[in-house]
Amino acid sequence: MSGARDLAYLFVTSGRAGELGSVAKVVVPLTLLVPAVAPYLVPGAEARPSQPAVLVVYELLVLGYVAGVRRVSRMVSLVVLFLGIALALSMLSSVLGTGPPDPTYSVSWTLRLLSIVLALSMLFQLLTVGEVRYLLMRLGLRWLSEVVSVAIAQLPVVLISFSEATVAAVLKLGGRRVSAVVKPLVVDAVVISRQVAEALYLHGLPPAPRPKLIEGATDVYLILGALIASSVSALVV
Amino acid sequence: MHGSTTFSFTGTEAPSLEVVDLWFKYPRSSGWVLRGVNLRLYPGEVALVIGASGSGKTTLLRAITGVGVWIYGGELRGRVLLGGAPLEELPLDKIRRSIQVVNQNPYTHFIEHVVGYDLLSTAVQLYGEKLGRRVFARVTTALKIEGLLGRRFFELSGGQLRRVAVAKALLWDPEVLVLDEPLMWLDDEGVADVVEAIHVARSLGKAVLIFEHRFMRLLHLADSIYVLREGALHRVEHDLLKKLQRSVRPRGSHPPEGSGSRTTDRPLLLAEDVWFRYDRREDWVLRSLSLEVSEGTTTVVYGGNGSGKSTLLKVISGYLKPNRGRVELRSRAVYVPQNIYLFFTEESVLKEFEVVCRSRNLGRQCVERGMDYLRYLGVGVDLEESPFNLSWGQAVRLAVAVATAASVGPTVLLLDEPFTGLTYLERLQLATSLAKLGGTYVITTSNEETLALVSSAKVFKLAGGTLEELRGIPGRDPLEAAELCKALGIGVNHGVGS
Repeated sequence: MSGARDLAYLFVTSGRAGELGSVAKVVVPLTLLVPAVAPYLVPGAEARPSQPAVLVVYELLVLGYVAGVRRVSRMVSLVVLFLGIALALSMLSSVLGTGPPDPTYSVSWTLRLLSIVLALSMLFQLLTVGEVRYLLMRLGLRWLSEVVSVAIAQLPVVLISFSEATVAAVLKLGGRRVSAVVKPLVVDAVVISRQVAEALYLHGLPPAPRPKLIEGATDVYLILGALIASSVSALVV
Repeated sequence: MHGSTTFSFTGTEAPSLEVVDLWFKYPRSSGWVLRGVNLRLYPGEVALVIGASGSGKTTLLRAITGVGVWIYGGELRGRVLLGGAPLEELPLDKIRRSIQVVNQNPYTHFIEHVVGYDLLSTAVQLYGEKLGRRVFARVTTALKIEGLLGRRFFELSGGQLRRVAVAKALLWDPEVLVLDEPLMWLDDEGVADVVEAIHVARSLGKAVLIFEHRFMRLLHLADSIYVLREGALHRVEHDLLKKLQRSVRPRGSHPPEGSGSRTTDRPLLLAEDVWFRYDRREDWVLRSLSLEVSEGTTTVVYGGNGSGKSTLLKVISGYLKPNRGRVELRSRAVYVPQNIYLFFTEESVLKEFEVVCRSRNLGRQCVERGMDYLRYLGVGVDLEESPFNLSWGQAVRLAVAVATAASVGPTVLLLDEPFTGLTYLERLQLATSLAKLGGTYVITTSNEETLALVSSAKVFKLAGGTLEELRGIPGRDPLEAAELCKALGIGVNHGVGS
């Protein structure tokens, strides 16, 4: 319940998004995303926890500024969850006889994955749906821009339905066949999509106006911070 | 509050909306859903259309906006004139500027998560940057939603959400504003919000068309009232309605007394000093709450939107753990959500029974018992029918039958707002059904008018996270309304809802 809500907030525009220019909104998360993703693409890349840790700390700082301490503290609980998953995988691989991986390796790759999730979350929290559409349209992806807009807009509503359907299914079927929750959710999604189509017919999609590129000094500070965090994480390797 | 005023719209002014001998059917429907609808709506007029679930109210809305043809591929005969021009000759942009709709699920109206961004981008789209900001400021001030602009649309209460949706519709400066079941899921405060928004729209000279089956709270502001019956609109004169209201007395349809109940003193559920919150950094949703539910009794929890009713049901079901205090459930609990269709997991009514019986290792007898319950509750549907195709009222009763059939020993049924989405007659029918079955129920409701339907129940008010027992059930609106429905010929439709 609470988890579904927290998950929704990871991809919802923050109330302070209007205080930043579009350049900072795109450059900051991407600058942090690149060093987090690069080791996945480079074969044999060595992993050390300190490298993604720098990125994660800076990401949490930026998200704290944008979304508030309360929401970031919820994200920290995600950190614990990811580390828990890493630990569980380590234990599992030892049971399966594939040899226990180096714990440093596990923590490093877990933090890296977390860094990627936080950077993507930052992108969604900073950009308004209109800005996402504008960017996709500029990339020549007009059709995709409309689909993505509607999908992002309705994501929180779908997650609320998911939470309700799960409670009902667990109590109705006694915890068995929780996968049965898929069916009502599919039907619900179809109903919502029809209603969205009706709403689009009557309101249309507001045009994606050219966003303001730079809003103020905060943009510059955040971009500089992202460049420094990214460079430091590279130097640590 | 505004006083009730009834105008006569017979002047020389041209109607904002004119519907002449309108027929409509969906591509797969066997017959016409609308059969010769006629309607004239003038600027500043508020018209209320009432009708049973599945009577075609939403279809009429779809037909007069063009959605029925363009989105659903339906067939339309007759004429729809917006501002004197035929609908089919108008470009889409002109239609949008002539007629705007706030539909049953206003969540779908929003693209931007933050309300202010969404409304402002719409205004700028329509009028350009400078004028758009002025229109935005004017509309948000008129509807008193300035305090909501920084909120996300899915965080708003039902009433706030509809007020914001009305604001978005008014940004278009349409001649006609259509509201489809605007009171659905609203608490008493939310109803007042919507009524206020309708007054604002009327004061701006908009023709307002309201489709609603919970109509008692809207009668005073409607200038004209229509009943949609057998595919056609029938005008009801105010005088006749007043006469009916005076003459109507709840005959026969008395509040169900729970004749079939097997009330015992055995408590099935005990909640003691329960405290709950979703997050340590948030306020308590439930604080020092205590509740005892005995076998065979009905407990009603009444509270406003966002008061924590659904959370309470999840806590007492054992799904959510209280942060402090104790919940002791001495039976199974089944939760029936507010959006009833999220309860169903199978593709047919029969399979619903089979699967739920199998999940409890019960055999054929369980399924047959379920069929008996279904007949007992008066749900005459084909067993191969999909539960997702049933009308709201049928779906709620099917959920009750499914949950009851698979009960081995006592079961507490937790029904979250089961009366929402039902006509007054269907509400009465559901209340009667629950009383007939004589199970153990915890029911939540957000509007006072339904309390009279469960007069034999223990009623608690949930406010500030605590429960306070209410003695003396206020009002008997729904019973009178149910009688009024009968007098107006609004029966209970068993057909598939729109």
